[in-house]
Amino acid sequence: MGDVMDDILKIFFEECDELLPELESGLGELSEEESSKETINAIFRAVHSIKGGAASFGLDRLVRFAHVYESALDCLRSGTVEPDPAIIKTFYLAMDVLSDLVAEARNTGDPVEDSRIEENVHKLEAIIGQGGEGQPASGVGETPVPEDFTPVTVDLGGFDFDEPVEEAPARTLTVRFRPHSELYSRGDDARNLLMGLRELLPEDALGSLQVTCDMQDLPPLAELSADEACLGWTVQLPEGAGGTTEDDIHAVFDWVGDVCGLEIIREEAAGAASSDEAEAAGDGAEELPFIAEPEAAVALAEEGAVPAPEAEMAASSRPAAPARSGRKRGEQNASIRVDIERIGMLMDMVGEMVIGQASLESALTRENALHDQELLKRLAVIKTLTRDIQEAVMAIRAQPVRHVFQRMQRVVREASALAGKDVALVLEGEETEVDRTLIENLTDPLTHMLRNAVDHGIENPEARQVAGKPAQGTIRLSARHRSGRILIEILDDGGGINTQRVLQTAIKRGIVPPGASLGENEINELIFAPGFSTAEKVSDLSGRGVGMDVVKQAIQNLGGRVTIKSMPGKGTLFTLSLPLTLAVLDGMLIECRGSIMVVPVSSVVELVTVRTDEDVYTIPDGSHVVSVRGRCIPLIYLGDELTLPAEPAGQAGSHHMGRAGEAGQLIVLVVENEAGARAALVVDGVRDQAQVVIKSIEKNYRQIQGVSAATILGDGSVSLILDVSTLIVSATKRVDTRALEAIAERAA
Amino acid sequence: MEFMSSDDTKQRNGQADGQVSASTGGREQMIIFTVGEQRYCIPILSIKEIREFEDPTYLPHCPPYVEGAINIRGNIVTVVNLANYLDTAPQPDNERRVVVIIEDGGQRATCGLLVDSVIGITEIALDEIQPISVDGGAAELSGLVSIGECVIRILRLDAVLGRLLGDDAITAAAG
Amino acid sequence: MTDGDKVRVLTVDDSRTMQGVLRKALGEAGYDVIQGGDGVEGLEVLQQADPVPQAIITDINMPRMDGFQFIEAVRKLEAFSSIPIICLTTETDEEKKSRARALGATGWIAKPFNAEKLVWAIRRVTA
Repeated sequence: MGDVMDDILKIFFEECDELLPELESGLGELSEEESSKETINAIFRAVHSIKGGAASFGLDRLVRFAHVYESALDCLRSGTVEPDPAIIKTFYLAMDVLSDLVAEARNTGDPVEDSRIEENVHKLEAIIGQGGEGQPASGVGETPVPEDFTPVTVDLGGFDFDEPVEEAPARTLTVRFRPHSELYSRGDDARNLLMGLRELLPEDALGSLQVTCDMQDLPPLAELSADEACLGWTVQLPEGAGGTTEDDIHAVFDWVGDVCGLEIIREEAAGAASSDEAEAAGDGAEELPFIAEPEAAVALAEEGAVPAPEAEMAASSRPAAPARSGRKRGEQNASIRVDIERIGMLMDMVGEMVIGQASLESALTRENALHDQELLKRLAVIKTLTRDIQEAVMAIRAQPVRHVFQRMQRVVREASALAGKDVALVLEGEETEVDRTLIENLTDPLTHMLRNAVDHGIENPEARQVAGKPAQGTIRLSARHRSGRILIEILDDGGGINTQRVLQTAIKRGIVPPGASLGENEINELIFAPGFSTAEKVSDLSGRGVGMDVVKQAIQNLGGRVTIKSMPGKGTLFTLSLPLTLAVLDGMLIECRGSIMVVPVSSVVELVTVRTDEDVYTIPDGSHVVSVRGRCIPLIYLGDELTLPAEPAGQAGSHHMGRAGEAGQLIVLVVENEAGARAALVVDGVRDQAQVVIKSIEKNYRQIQGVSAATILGDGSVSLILDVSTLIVSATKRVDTRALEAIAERAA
Repeated sequence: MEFMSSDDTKQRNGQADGQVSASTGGREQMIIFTVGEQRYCIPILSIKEIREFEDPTYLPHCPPYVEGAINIRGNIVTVVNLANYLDTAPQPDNERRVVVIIEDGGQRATCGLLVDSVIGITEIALDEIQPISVDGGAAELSGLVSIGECVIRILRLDAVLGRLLGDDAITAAAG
Repeated sequence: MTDGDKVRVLTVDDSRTMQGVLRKALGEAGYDVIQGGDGVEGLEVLQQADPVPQAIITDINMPRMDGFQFIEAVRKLEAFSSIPIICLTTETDEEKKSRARALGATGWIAKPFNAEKLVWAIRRVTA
């Protein structure tokens, strides 16, 4: 049983992952005044579903909060409150609490502080109070949370009997009931009620149950109408001590209170009961004080015979109504839910196919068969098809960035609250699709960049007023496709980058030497330097220890670039350019000590041959730099860096494009990271350029310094994809930049 | 994992770590192989396939017991040189070396074990396994079992994979 | 495909969590459970079901076609006009209950419910 519940719990959390974004986007629509009745319903439903699911698992804290939230939303739904900005803000904050409570229940988040819950509950209750529904006070504590399958008393649905509470044993309860025809048309049956009464008695006491059918109103057969009910029943059963209580009986009749006459009479002894029974059977319906609505009672008097639903079914021959007639919202995208693992498998197989195709091509090249025009043509067809299939699978995995973007609303909300600023986040291009592998990795960098924009980009309200800007700052987060990549822009309307201050800080932190003259762009780039922070007061945000260098690194790890543009007095624009997928990569295949490795083409600057005696310098700490076009670059002997075993003697002779021809020469591949830092990789040669399928190494092994992933080459062998960024970082750390400048001067 | 009944999980974990609880009184099929002069065994259900040794791709900064990475139907799988791992000398000039590909139920990781030769399959009674004290420095093994004159060591697969995935101190990666 | 001895119940709920809970509770109580994700799906499942379910449990608050519309639609279908329909809802207010009943709902269970309450309700209408 536990296992099944665990599965359902997992489904519940998955569902929360879907519902919370729905809630958020619904609230977004509310604030954009696009709200329709349907939006409000969707918002309500999201909270309602979370509450309902949580209740099934006894997630008490979550249920209680969701209940208050739901009640507040209900005021919105019923129109008793209007969605003004203050209320929407409360709903947003409550959503954050709800989301954190879900995380708490899931053990993926810190426990939510009681004071925070309380504070939000108060705000929500204020809304409920505004709506004048008068239910807030009872709301919080009252919500029932099941204590795992204890018997439950069923709600009494409006009956109000004044029952004298005296303990007297061995009494008999007489139940008289008389269903109206509506009872049958609701799919119920007098039989169900009789069975329900029978079940009230223990097995060995069934003998004490007496049932009489009251047929007095039954008309002659000829006058019998199929749609009318005219039978009543009288049931006698023992009360008390292991027997039945009136409440039990009311429970049986709970659902039919409005469509069934009911009377319960308590009698002292069995003898008295029997006389009463006779009387009841004889007198019929009129004398019984039926608990029914007045109209129903009138209808009862006019009603004829036969309760059976069978008769009702047989008698009518109306054509079946169409199931869905004119339902406006019926139109929807036909879609299916597919396990992501299956798509992953498909993706893997397509990857295999790409490799297979490449290996076929390489085999044919070896055989010199590529001179055969016919073969070439067919190979080209397969190649095109393979690429098309690959793209089609990619499209399946593509998701709009909406979800990630919407999460940023909360980031900005929290960051601006902490910073004491008023900031609005405007989203654009949320529909832009990228591969889901990328989406998952986008959240953290974007979070940090938006915090940065709130913290450092947008000015204080006072400063904004002085500058003649609206007190509320605006950050625009947008996404769009451009030439096979996705461009994400973060534009704030703050003061732009204060280059003077950035430079001073960089000098103070020893990032640049004092007196260095840097261009504006170079200064701007400094904010990406490790250890840089311009925050004058250590705010909570910068106190998190995440600098923009980490962000940049993360973006680079995704194969992306960050650029920055400052417009003094007007704002700052960060642009992220990212590949659409993390599944494939344009790679340059290089050779080093007999190993073929892949360098992402995006990071390659140039391939040059340098002379060891003229262009390579050894600096005092023992490391090497190379001068390429007057610029000194740290030299990385790739074989040594990656501890590659020496190539067996005699095998080093084969010729490749770019292979070092003569002694005293080195082939270096100049690579660049996003910060513009460069390094020169000493390689044996360059083999080819190809699109490679990225395979994880860490799935079956640990992370390897200097290697980001692996791929499989046409011949089926494993090839490593180099992590250019970390290689450059470790090389530049080794090399003192001041030494570089000195050498550059000498070389010039 | 979540769709596995708890019995399944137990069974799979049992396969994976080669630790078979002695109290069950059951029997288990094991595959026996040699590394150097010694014989070892692992549960047959943990084995995905056995393949010829082919030169793997060297993995930078790897410890001596990592032979390299190979491609198994599109997955990058690390090959462990068991002789180095167990700190024993492999058979010299061995042409029969094979790679036993194993999969771990709990961690869902796969790796290859480079062994000198595969001898065969045997069924052992779980209650005949002699436990080994871990203080004796035998963290690689979960027990011994005697078949005839021969003592066979039971390899702990969870320990192999744990070392590979880097949850020990010798993790080379620094991030 | 179906277990001939079991009483078949259709549950209609847009929450996959609730669907799971219902499937488990009813399944363990020995019912054959078929499910639909909203009113529209519920109707589709109902019309295709063979054998026809002996009871329906439906949520009220659902997208596309809500519980009220669903009950109304089922009652309009000749073949299903007398199937007991139990509404499953957290709404405690009488207005919703009476609206559901006016449309032909047989009974209701207030959420959160437990397995006993649920099974009691089903037994109540399929006795």
